[in-house]
Amino acid sequence: MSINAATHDDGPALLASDERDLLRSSFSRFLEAAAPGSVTAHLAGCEARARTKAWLALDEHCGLHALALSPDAGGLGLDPTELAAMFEEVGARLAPVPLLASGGGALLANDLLARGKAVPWDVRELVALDWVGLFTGAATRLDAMPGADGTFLVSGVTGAIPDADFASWLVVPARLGDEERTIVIQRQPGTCEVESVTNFDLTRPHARWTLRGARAELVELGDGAIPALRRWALLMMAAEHAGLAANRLREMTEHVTLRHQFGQPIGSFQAIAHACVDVMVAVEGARALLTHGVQACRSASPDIDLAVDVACAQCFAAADLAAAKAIELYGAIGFTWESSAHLYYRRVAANRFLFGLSCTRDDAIADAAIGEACDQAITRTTYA
Amino acid sequence: MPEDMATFRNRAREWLARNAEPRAPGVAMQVAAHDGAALARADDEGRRWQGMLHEAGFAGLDWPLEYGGRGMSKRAAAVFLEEERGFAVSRQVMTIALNMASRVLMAHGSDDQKHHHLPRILDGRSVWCQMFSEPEAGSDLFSLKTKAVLDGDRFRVNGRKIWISMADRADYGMLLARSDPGQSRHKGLSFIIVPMGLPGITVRPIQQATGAPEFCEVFLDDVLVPAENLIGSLHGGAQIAFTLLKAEREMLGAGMALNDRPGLGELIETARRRGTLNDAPVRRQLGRACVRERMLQALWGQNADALLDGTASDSLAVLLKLLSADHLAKTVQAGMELSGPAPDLAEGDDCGPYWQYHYLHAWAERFGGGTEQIQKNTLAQQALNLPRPPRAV
Repeated sequence: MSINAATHDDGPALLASDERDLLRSSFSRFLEAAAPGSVTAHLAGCEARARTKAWLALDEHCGLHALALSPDAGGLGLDPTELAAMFEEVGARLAPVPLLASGGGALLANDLLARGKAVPWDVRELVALDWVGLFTGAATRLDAMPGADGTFLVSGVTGAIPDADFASWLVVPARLGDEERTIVIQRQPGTCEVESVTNFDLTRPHARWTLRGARAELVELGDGAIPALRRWALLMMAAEHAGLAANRLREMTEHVTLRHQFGQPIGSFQAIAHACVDVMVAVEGARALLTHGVQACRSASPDIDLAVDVACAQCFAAADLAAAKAIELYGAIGFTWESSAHLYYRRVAANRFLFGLSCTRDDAIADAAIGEACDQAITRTTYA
Repeated sequence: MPEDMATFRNRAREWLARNAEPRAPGVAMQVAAHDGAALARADDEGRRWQGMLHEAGFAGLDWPLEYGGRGMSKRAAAVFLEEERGFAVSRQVMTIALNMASRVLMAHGSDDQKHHHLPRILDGRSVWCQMFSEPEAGSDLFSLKTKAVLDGDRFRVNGRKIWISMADRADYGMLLARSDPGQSRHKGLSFIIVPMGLPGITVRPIQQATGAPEFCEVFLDDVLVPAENLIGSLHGGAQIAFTLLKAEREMLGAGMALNDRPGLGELIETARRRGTLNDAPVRRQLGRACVRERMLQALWGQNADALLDGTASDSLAVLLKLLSADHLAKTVQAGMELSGPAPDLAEGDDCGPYWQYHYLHAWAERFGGGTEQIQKNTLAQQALNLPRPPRAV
């Protein structure tokens, strides 16, 4: 339905394009086959046991753990283009697949490997990240003490962390003396207790880890590792929202075409049609900015952060509008479990602060815009 | 060997620098005088500037050589427009002639019409207007009632057209009128070139909300127009009107008419002058404006080829027009908020009057080329394939 000609496919890639297509379509087929028939089935698929099974199957099927991992570590080293396409699929279906946790873990592993450091976790296993702790520097609730052979012993209770209900490893900041350091904890019976947390987003379970002298190792990240992880996470979140918004638009358009009242399809009424158009306009804008953000990342453009932030902001705005309008246009159906509309609505609302940073990115964008306005040397041209 | 785009851009930039004043550095935020006399002066300058471009070989860059154009690519024309924006010049007065009349003439005009009119447009000799809307036929264009009845070798035109930009300065008007009063709606319409100096034409400027008389009402009383001024076939005017409306949407959609619009830069400058760059609500406004501006740039940039070649879907042009209008509406709202209580105008230079003017003027761009509601109907049916509303009677 896109009326914008741009695609995410331009430019060189590590994988040949037929391999990329194969991977993407195989991922998509997997999600299709696993697509739940009802809200209840969808939620059953989100339980920890079901998601563990799905993760293992998907890892075997298309090497999920290896997607973003660098080829040095035996990974596929996918760049943001392919990953964004996968996140769009995940967003469109609210697929309970831990792409965020596996990709984020891989990015940190890549940073360690690039600087000749050992990766202190098994890269074939799922790694959950305390996004809020890593990105906002929010005061950690964990204390680490030096233990035997260079390891540490950690105690305390973490915040609620996505995918931590079934991840084998957790990367999290902890206090070590006067300093805050990034550590990784392996899940062990006895010293780690994992407790699921009721979450507003029913399709993205969160969990807390309670640690009593759990063994941990330092993660010696380079200076740029966290900013790079943040940029990646915001861009993938943008992709998830773009896919989600496009899905909502497709479904609502279909619904208002089929649903009849007053003897005609409700989509023939302007109030309904214009609501769909408003969503379409937001979705097309989001898609354009996502493409722009992905390209900026691939070309390491100097305004890469701004490109990612505006993509994140618009994709969020489109998803926010689309998820709400879908409920509105489905009417009472949309307010019940007969429809999955509320699952999407919950997802977007919870995503706004998933990383502890607002997806609207107002402050960061304002900073960059003001900086650019002060720099008279920049002149922007559209046509080369 | 054809000149490459970077070389052309440099050549254009150098010529512009020699022949025009650069736009003041920074963001000027001044409202140009817009009373009738000032508008007339600006229009004369616009014609003169078009003449200079023509003499220097920068007019009609993408037009065929046989009509006085340069036979270059659409991209070259777009590059020149981009460069021209850096200078304190405007050819607003030529907009309809250059972007709309020329498209209609090239697509549907006779050889005589093309050879007569196109060169006169290119060198700034003739200004055009578009006479479509009527008091009772705004969004519902095809309910128009103005009659143009063929009487021997002349059309006898009677009726009234309204909201006609440039009618008081135009040399020619593109008239859509009912040539067969027995037919209704899109049938029985003809598209006729009307020299605006003909007897029986009365033009009354209309005061707009901004105070500027930028458009007019046109009364046509027994105006006799030579039959050879018909474009296309008799009673076949609707098809030509569609060409013109498409050209208008593409012009608006491609951002060609966006000179001098307030945007992010003006909002930042306002916050800077007010010392509010660090206030959270202000920063939120700036952030949102930046997203909107980047979104338009991304959509233009990613579709530049299709927009320039005219192969872009009509839906894309409509979408861009809607997004531009939305950006403008939100920007002027933010500008009023950021500039705060109306300042004492006697104090001199300030951004208050700038935002007050654009707060009013934004409506012109929002209605121009069709209301947002009509554009949304178009997208609902063209892009989303939604069922049509029950036909109005």
